Amino acid sequence: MSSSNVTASRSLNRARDPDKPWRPNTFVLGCRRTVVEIVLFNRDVASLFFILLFPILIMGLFSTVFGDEPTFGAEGDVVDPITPAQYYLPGLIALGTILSGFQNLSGYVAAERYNGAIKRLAGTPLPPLSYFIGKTGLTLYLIVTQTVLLLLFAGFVMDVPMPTDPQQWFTFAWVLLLSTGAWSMAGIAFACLAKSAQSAATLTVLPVLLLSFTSGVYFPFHRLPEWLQNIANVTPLRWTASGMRSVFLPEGWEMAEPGQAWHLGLSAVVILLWLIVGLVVVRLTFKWPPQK
Amino acid sequence: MNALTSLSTQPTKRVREDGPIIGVEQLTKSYAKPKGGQFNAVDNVTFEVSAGETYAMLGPNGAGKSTTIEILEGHRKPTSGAARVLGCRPYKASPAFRARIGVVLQEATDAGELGVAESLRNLAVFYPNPRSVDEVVAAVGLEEKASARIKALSGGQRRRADVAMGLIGNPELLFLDEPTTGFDPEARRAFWELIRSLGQDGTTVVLTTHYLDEAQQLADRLGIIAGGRLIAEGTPTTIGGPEVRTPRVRWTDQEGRHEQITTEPASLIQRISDGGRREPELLEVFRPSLEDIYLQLLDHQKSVDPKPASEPRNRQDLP
Repeated sequence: MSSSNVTASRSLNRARDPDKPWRPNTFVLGCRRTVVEIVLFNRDVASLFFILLFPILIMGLFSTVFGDEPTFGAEGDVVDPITPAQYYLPGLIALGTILSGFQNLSGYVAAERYNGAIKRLAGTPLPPLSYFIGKTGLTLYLIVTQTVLLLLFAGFVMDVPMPTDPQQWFTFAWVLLLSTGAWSMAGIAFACLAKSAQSAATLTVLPVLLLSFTSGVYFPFHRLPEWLQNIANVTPLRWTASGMRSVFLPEGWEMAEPGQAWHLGLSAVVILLWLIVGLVVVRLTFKWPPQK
Repeated sequence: MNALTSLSTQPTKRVREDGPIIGVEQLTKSYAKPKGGQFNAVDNVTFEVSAGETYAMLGPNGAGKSTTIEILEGHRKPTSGAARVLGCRPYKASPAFRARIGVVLQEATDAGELGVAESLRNLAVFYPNPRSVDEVVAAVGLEEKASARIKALSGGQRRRADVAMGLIGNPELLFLDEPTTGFDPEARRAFWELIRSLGQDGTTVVLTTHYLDEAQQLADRLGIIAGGRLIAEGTPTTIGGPEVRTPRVRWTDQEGRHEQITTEPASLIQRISDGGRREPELLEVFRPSLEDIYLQLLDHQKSVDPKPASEPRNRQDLP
């Protein structure tokens, strides 16, 4: 249809030739979305404080309250006591995975489902996968920035000793990424099930608050009553926290864990299960665009 | 939108495709009612829009305009019937289809933290052949607000930013769902100019509106939707048929106020004025405005069809 009319080529060249249909580049657009997501996040001062810097604030607060002397010992004093900052570091890194994964995504995705943002994007050629790549990029940016800032703060300001064994850092990396992934899926699923952006914002706080108290982030996990431990055992944060403790606490502290061992394999299984279930729920509930 | 408002990115007029660009046949969208039963938001609607045409959908709130337009945009799945847009079924159509349409949603409060030009740049990268950001910003008259955050805009300015976002992809077919809500009269006139320039460019425009003057100004053809049904369709000067346009004569005498519908107003006036020897009080001759016709059609619809059935009505003014 284009042969006879040269001057009109511009409108004819666009995506009309059935032999060569135009396709957007899903990955490149996903990277563009990542940049937009990060720019938008950084403009939200409340999110910067309550997600990105929150673990540092808590560590600073606890060090102020409990001091910087090595006063925290494991049950039965089998090992030398450590400073409060060292004790809290693994728990706060674990807390970061629920903040960056769950709290961030459930809040933003719910808002975008209800304020027309997703609907607007769904009216453009942007592939839905690019939207998710953007969210993944944002989440990675958050968890990496948050964790690096916390580690720098712990290492240089609080003098927390860092692990030297590469094996430890490997454990650190997979526990961090897997947990963040699991929480991200939970966050998006939660956003899809919420009845309004407002209820999502309110309800998001609950799991973060409750789980951080039942997963050994603020209190030693083994001091919880057994029934509460049993409940916490099916949630991922508890296994992220124990995985991180295996990395950052000195040898001998596994004696303070249930079963006197770190159970890293179990950590992997529980977190992976959450990731898979979350993925399935998201696949079933996420609509592009949202349907009333 | 003081300085106006034409988009010159098209080097030539678009080549019009033969046949309708939108074909809707017996389209129905039903929702389950919360207390059981179902409700047809769109009920057996059939119409066509040709390439280059500006088509306006009019109707009261909740009539089904937005649902119809959202089905055409691919945002909703029809329950039954067929909708074809640019040769595709719009629901879950390919990105190549979406690159050819522009969508201005009825309400959106997103992107508040982004700047006007920034949000347009972000959208432009999704398209194979976008318009220039500066040009689109100028076309909607937001040059002075180009770097302002969208949340800082007034309601009408925000709406213009929405329109800009619908134009950035250089669409062949533009959907506008109540585009001028919140515009001041000057902005509305400038917006009309913009839509006219798009129409001259060959862009097909489908818009919904509550404003009869807007439909009259812009639409090549319009359809009136009530209770999910298309109750009338035609051009602004023919819709509703000749009967509803018959001139009316109003006057007052000792017996009170009179109004008479007549095809021969001059002879009627001659009679009531006794051949020009007596001046009737408050004499006027007028033809119903589009608004009168619209209200008349809606009234008529209510009286013949208090409870919507699912059989198609006879549409007036169709060949």
